[in-house]
Amino acid sequence: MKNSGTRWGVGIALLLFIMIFLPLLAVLLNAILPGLFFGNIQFQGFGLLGEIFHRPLWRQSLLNSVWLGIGTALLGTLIGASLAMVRARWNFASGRLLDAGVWLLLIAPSFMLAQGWVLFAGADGLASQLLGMNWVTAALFQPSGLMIIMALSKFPLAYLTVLAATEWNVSQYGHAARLNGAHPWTVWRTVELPLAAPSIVAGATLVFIDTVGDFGLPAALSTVYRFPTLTYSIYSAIYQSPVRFDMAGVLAFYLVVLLAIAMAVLLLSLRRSRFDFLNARAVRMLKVRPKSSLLLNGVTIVFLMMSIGIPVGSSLCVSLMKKAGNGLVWPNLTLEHYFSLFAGSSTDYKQLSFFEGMVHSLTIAAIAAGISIIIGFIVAYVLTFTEFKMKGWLQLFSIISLAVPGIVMGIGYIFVWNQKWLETFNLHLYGTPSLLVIAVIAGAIPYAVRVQLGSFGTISSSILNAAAVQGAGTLARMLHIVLPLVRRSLLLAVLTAFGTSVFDLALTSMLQPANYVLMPLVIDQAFEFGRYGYATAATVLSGGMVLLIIVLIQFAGEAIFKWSDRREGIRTKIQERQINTGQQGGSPYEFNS
Amino acid sequence: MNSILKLEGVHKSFDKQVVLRPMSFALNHGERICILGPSGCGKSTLLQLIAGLLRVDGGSIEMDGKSVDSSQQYIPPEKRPVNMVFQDYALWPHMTIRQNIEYGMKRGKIGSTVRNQRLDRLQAMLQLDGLLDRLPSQCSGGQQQRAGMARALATEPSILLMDEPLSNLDVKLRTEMRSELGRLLSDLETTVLYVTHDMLEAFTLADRILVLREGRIDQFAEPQQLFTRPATPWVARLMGYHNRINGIYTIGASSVMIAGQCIAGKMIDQGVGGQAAIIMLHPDQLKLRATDEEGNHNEIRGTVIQTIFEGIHWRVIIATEDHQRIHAFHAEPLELGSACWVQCSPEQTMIYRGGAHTEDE
Repeated sequence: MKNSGTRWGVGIALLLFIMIFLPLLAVLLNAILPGLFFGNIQFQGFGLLGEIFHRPLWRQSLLNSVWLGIGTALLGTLIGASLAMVRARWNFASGRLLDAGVWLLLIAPSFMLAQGWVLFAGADGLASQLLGMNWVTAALFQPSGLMIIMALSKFPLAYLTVLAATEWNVSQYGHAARLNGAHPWTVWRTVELPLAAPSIVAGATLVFIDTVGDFGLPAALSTVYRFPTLTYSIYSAIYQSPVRFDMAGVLAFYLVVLLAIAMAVLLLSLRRSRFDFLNARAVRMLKVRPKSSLLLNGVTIVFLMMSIGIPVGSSLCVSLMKKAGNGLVWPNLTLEHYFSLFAGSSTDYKQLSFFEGMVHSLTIAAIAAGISIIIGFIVAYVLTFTEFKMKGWLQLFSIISLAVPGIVMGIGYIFVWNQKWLETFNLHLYGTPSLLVIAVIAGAIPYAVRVQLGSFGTISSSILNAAAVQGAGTLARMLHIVLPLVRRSLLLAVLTAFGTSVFDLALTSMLQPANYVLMPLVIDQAFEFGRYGYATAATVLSGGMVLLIIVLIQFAGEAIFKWSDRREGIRTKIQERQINTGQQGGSPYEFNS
Repeated sequence: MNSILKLEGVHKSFDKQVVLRPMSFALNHGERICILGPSGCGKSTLLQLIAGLLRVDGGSIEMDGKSVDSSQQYIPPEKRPVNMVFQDYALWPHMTIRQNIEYGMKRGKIGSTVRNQRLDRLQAMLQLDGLLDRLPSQCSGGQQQRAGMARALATEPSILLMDEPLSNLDVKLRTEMRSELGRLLSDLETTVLYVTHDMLEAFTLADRILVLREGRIDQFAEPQQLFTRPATPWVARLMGYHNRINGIYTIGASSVMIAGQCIAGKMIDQGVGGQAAIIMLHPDQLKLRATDEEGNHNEIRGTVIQTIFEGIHWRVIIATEDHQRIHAFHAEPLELGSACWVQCSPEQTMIYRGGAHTEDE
């Protein structure tokens, strides 16, 4: 069992190294050895890395990313942690709505949310047209305004982290403090807050990582407001002529350094959070009905209107308006943007084909979901049930693409798979859909692994040992024992991987094959050229379609599982009857006849 | 003597579940009281009401003559002269042992000189040398228990509440800590209210024991009285009187008739002749005889149906002639199926009225 586990472990670790770690390594190496991946290796010292302090655009990109990250982390954590503490303590009607909203924001592609904000707060946006709030444009399209927009989109990470830590009942610490003379406020300040601090820091770090690595917001904002960040400048460096791989490499290096620092803070805070204050007797906090539930519900609904209602509602409104500037009045309402999605517009470079983009994106996402689930299944199996010695590395490889932005992975993929010598082996994959599929798989693997690890953890290794002593090899144990037990979480993992893969703007922007239309690009390009109606209709329809597909697959999967359970039940009954009547063999259908 | 703590008609329910039925009792200055009872009998709830962590539904609690909880008044926990040692110690995990102990003194605005003096005294008393600058997670269970005790004593409370503080320790450590705690509590002048489900712990530590069952007080007495005169068959069973034999009061009600034999004992409940009775016998205090001897009284005749070797003695199970079972300990095994006489000492035979304790059936 051990040797077999090691073989599987080595194989899967090697695969993850190539798919995930090698591109990241390539980015770091290219910053020191700029010609390494282009056939003219030359070490020029670390001077290139110092250029960031001399070149205004590079420096500004770094500063913007840092400040946007810090500001968003602070504001997003303040919002997320406050909401989480309220949610953990009180039972109020809109609490479930808040949870649903948080998950919606978490899975919604950031460029779609950002486009909604642009349509709302832009110079002729809905805020000024419909509400007469002309000040919104100036207020939001400035650094602190962007922090507010980002915080309203990214706070779910802090919310979920803090909620997970605060929903356990640790009231005995508070009771002990009160019996030692502390007033309720002192109890919160000296006991409850310090205990929650590591989770708050972890939440803030996650918000920072997600903000700094975000490509969607700067991409969407670039149409109305110039605010270069590291991710957008990397993209610009690749899509300018001549291509500036040196600039992209250095900026990607600094982006990785920022994220590494953030990860170190995260790990430190997680280590400090191991105060061991939950014991075997820990119970979840009993939520109580607040005295002023009306106030809590009101605040929650207003907040959700701001964070979800504005971006989603703006996109929906604009998709139904003939002209975005003519207001939300009956004569200005139309469905023509939705019809135009199917009109076929391959000749218009500003308006890429929705249908083609949807087919390509769904196909790639489906392939990526399928393959990433298989890889994720094997990774989870090796991590849970084997004694593979390099589990730490496997964990690292399987989670790294969650923290490393798609834009960095994208440029790493270009460095690795754009080398001439690979042509000899037919492995020059840059510019082909295959590379995009591999990159999307790499992006989906962390979700596939995390979701499956949870359910694998509930399986006792003794049942696998029982199968092993019955002669089942590793593959047989995976297929016959583990797979049937985790099939529901496997379905969930497939859907999660699928959902996160369809709208990955960063990877598709970086690795898009020539003349190959993809859904995020259809939306982004239409938006960039001011075709707001087309862009928003595409957003609403594609988002709705993906949601529908996920719901249908979930429904179908559940139905199949139930059918299969019933069939197994009938088969078992037949076998029992055969045993009772002394029958041997025979068709299972005899029972029905 | 003035009461430091007085409960009058205190009761508590959660939703429709009655946890404590109306109860009244009082504690004197410096007394050590154990609340003894099984899980779910309301022990911890009672402690939390006294601490002020829960509010009474009815009745009142007075401390040192002042009402702290009643329908008109409620004094929060931080303003009551109490402190508590928790079942899982509840040491704040982000503070060192020193910070944990000093916390309450700082809240009470006690100067650093006095603080340090108390800290030194507690350190010596509770053997906390070398532990003060550690986090709770760096201490063993026993050390955490002592630190929790030090924290509770540091504020010098008038009443010290202890909620099963030894229950999280392993058997060996619990035995050691039990005697250590007994020595420590006897040195203190503080009134102690100690919750436990362990009879031995209660006997070791308490001046008086309050037996709680299903939210009401079954008996409140000194340990010796509790053992020698348990108020109900349930308390008797808690004290180790595991043999429960049904019989009827004889005419004159001076003894109980069991399988044709008259058994005399302590009349905890007075009955009338012919009325159903229960006798409770402690297996340790029964004597067995394999042969019939004239002139012996207070014996129940039976047949040996099982013998089990338990190391220091044999457990012998005897069936009476009316098919009731008696467990007794004996130095040697007795032959299965042989006749046997169980000798009951009147001093150690507890007699109760049968109908009065139907909840025990």
